[in-house]
Amino acid sequence: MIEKIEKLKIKAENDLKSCISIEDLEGWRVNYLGRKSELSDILKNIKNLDQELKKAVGSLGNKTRIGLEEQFKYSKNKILGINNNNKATEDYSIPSRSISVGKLHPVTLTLREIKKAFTSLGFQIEEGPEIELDKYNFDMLNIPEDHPARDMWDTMWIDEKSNKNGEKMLLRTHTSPVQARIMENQDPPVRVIVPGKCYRYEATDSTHEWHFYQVEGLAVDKNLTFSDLKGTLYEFAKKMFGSETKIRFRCDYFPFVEPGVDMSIYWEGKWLEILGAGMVHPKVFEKAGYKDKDLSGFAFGMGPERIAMIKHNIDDIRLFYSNDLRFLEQF
Amino acid sequence: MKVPISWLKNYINVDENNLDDLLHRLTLAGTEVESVEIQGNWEGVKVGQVLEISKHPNADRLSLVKVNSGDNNAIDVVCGANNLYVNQKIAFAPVGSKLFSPKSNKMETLKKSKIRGEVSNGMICSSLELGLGEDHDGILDLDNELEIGKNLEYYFSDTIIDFELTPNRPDCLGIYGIAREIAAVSDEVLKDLEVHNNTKLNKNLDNLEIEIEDKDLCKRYMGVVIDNVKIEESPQWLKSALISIGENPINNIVDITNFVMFEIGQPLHAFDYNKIKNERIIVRRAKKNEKLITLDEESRDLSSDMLVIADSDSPIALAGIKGGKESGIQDSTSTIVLESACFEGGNNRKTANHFDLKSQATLRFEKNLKPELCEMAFYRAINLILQICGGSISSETIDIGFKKDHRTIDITLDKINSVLGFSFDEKNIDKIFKKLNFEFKKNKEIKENIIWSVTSPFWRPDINIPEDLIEEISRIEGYDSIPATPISGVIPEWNPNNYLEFLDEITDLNVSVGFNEVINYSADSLKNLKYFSPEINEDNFIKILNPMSTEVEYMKPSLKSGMIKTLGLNSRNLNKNINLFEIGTTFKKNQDGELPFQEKNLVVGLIGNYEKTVWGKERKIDFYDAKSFLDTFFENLKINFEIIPNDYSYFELGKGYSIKINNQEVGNFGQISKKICSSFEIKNQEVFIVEIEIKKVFNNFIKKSEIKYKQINKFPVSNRDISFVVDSSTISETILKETANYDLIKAIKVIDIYKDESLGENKKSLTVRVTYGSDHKTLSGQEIDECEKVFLSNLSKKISFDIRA
Repeated sequence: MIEKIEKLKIKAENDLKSCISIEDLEGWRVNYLGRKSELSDILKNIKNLDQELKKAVGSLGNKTRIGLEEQFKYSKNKILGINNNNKATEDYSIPSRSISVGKLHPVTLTLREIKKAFTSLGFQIEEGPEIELDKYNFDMLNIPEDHPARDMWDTMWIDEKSNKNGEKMLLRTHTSPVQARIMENQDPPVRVIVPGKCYRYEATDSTHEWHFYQVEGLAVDKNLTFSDLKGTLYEFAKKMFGSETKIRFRCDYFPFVEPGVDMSIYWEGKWLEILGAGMVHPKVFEKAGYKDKDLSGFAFGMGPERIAMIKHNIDDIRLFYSNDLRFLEQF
Repeated sequence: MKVPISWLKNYINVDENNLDDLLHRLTLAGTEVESVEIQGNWEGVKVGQVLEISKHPNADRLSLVKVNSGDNNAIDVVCGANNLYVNQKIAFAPVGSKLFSPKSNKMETLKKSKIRGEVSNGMICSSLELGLGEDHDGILDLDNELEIGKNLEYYFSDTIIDFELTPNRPDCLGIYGIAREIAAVSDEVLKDLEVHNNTKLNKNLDNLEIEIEDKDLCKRYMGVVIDNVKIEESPQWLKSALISIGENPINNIVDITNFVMFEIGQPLHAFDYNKIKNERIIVRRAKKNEKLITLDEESRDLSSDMLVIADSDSPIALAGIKGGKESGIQDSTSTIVLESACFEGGNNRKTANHFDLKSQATLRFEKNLKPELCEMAFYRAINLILQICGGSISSETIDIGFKKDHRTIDITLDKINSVLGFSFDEKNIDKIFKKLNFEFKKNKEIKENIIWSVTSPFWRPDINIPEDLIEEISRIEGYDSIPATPISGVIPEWNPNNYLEFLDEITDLNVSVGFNEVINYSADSLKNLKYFSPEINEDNFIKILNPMSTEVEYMKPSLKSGMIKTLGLNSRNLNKNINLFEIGTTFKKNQDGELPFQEKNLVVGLIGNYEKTVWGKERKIDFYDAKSFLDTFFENLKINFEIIPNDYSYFELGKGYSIKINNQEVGNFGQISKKICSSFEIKNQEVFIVEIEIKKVFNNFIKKSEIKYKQINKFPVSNRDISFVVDSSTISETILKETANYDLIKAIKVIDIYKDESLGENKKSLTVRVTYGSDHKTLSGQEIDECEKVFLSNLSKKISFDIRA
């Protein structure tokens, strides 16, 4: 008899799990808890049992009945969407008192991700001046005056004839001049990234801004190789775009590196360039006063707006500096 | 650089079925493909012939033309071109054919039309209408040999590849150079360019003398006289070739010099021999006050750093940039001088930039072409001229200034592998050098470290140092084949920049208290900047010489203008309270002639209304919203600050304040004057701005990591509220400050302000809560009473007040 009740209980509980409507539940209730149910029968006929058994069966039978009734109620409430045990005493659906938290600009968010990726590889963060000397922006980077590569950077000049040494001033066209400044002031080994604003005389459209950010990177040590460069930037790209990202290096030209690299990622069916890089050109070391023949290094530069545009599906670079909250608050 | 496949195929086999693969390989190796365009934007256009031309009865500038389009038919067409003639072969678009319309930017079907009362059953096309060139002056005049009725694409269809080239590779500015590059990245074999220099001299009639005066700027000059040439239109193949890369054909001589430049990459020039005085060509710097009228009919004032080609009297060309009008080839020219020369790049570029004359010649010369290139182009052009224009060579070929450069670059296997971090095979390197036509000798004396002595070919002026060779090896092998390894070497001593970390910290702080970050342009108009930096003399703003517009002409010494603009923009779009901040660089002139001062400021701006909610009424943002920013900001940084009323021209009178730390002004805040608001198109709104010089705050900042813990007071404290009735002009600070002198007063704050007539005229009630306590014991009521008594008595010596029960 005890065994029978236990079996009944298991069967009832299993059946209850498959009840998905109120009708199902009602059927279940009639079947297991109704007047003509097996359990009722057992309890009705308990009086015919001997004393010992009567007590044991009675106790188990009632316990089981109460348990099944509880479970029935719970299931019914669940189906009706009512949580009876926890009746709310407040209207929790009205808006709460607001605690406002601001949003970081998407460029700052991206810069932080970039910084995080590189600081984990031992790179430190530095900055440099935005109004810069011609010397640092070009000459020290192996781009002498009248060099055709100067066309790669349309420059905005500052209307002060020059500084006291006769050097022309400009709005830096890239963050690369900070490379030269760092090498002048710091002995190797060097691992540094330099975020900051840059400026180019360039008509504005959906993919060009005259005012933008760049992140420069520089590593100098004994015997750094092209493989190190590749390993570092692949690691970075995987941190930024996901570990499954397909990455490609191709040959490109920048006067301050040799060999020169353009790195692209495969994104939504297309190869997209995300940064330029290369092994530091010997002329750049020479000009910065790094004389040790064993020294080598690599440098890279990237635009956080471009990275943010790829990641967040932003189709117009002008959104970044128009500062419309309807854009900024999405991040 | 536009490269038609049909042209390219003269030099190398191109498998058009696997074009994508080839272009991908070129891109990976550095010759980047920007676009691939199928030429010929038409359907149904045929070669036709003009049968009859008559005047349009109702329009002087139009003609009625009968066109044979293949079935000996005579189709009536109205045409406005002025270069029509009978029997002319033309590109004919009959009714029903399709042409690309630049207006609608799509293909449009040609319909039968009536033009000024006359029926037109088609159209005679110009090269522009067919997408074959820019020339819209007349209809496309086809070669007489083309077959009438043939589809035009039979003669003109092509695929044009547009390469985006890097400035180190002038060799790829010639289509033959692109073919060389294809040979280097594929298994195809480059065909030799047929250049015969059997320039047999028929009769030595014409005298020509050439002299290079300024040898630093001209490394080679080759010249020859060709007489009895006939100047006329070029043959169709030559015209088509030029049209296909977007160049306008001019005449056969000029077209040939252009063709050879686009083929080989060496610019050439042709002079009218009879215009060269005393048959003398002198390559020299211009003299003071010399002038030259160039081919574009501009009069150019020359200066003594510019290189010119001169005859015995005066300049006849801007060397390697543009020819002179006077000495140019004209229809009447019968004897020419062909020039193939090597000019120094920097000087050429400088002169071209001075005149804003970025010609195709300068695009090549500025990259310091090698003098060996002159020769190949020189003989190639002579061959073509004799073939196309007739004539014969009538002078010695002159070749002066050329010195062969015997420099070689030594590179070791060790160096290659140590730069790339990869073990290259010796034979592989040999193979790559051979593919690139790099001549080399190998020294294998040291077995482990082979040395190559490499001579790069004359078309590669970019190869100068061992690293250049390493790039060649790696790009031909493919960057993909070099492994990516984790960065090796020593991690530099960790020495973080505390100031940059502080900037991040305050950025986070601002965001956490509800302010959105914005980033504005670093420049603004002088008008806007002057409002916020009245202390700066107009001449001392930092001006950009070539700004994008006057709206962004001056670098900002204060960030306020950008913030107000951004507040205005957003308050027009959104009806809510707007809290913004920006951390940006400010620029101020450094009088020592050094770089300007470039320091970061924090600017905070507030505008708008708090909306009505369940919890509160709608209200405007006000002074205390701005002040609560300051209180929270400095409390979090654990820096004590003061605010002191001060006059600023840009704040409303009586609503401007200095922010001070240790008596040093670190910034200011207040309500922007209505006048300035309205000039930023903000009306009926109050704008509050805080601007802080971050460096000055940073100097007072103790890094959180350096804070030392103070024991928590174990003894209980007691609060007592006191209500003062004071003059309404009394500021609460007078009372709050007084408590600083009492050890037992741990804190004091204002908890109520109340004004009522019952208090008396011009009186207010200020309720403060004073917290009493001791670090050593629990204070008794008596001790607190005593302290309070002394405090009130001392305070009464400073201000008059009553205590309200």
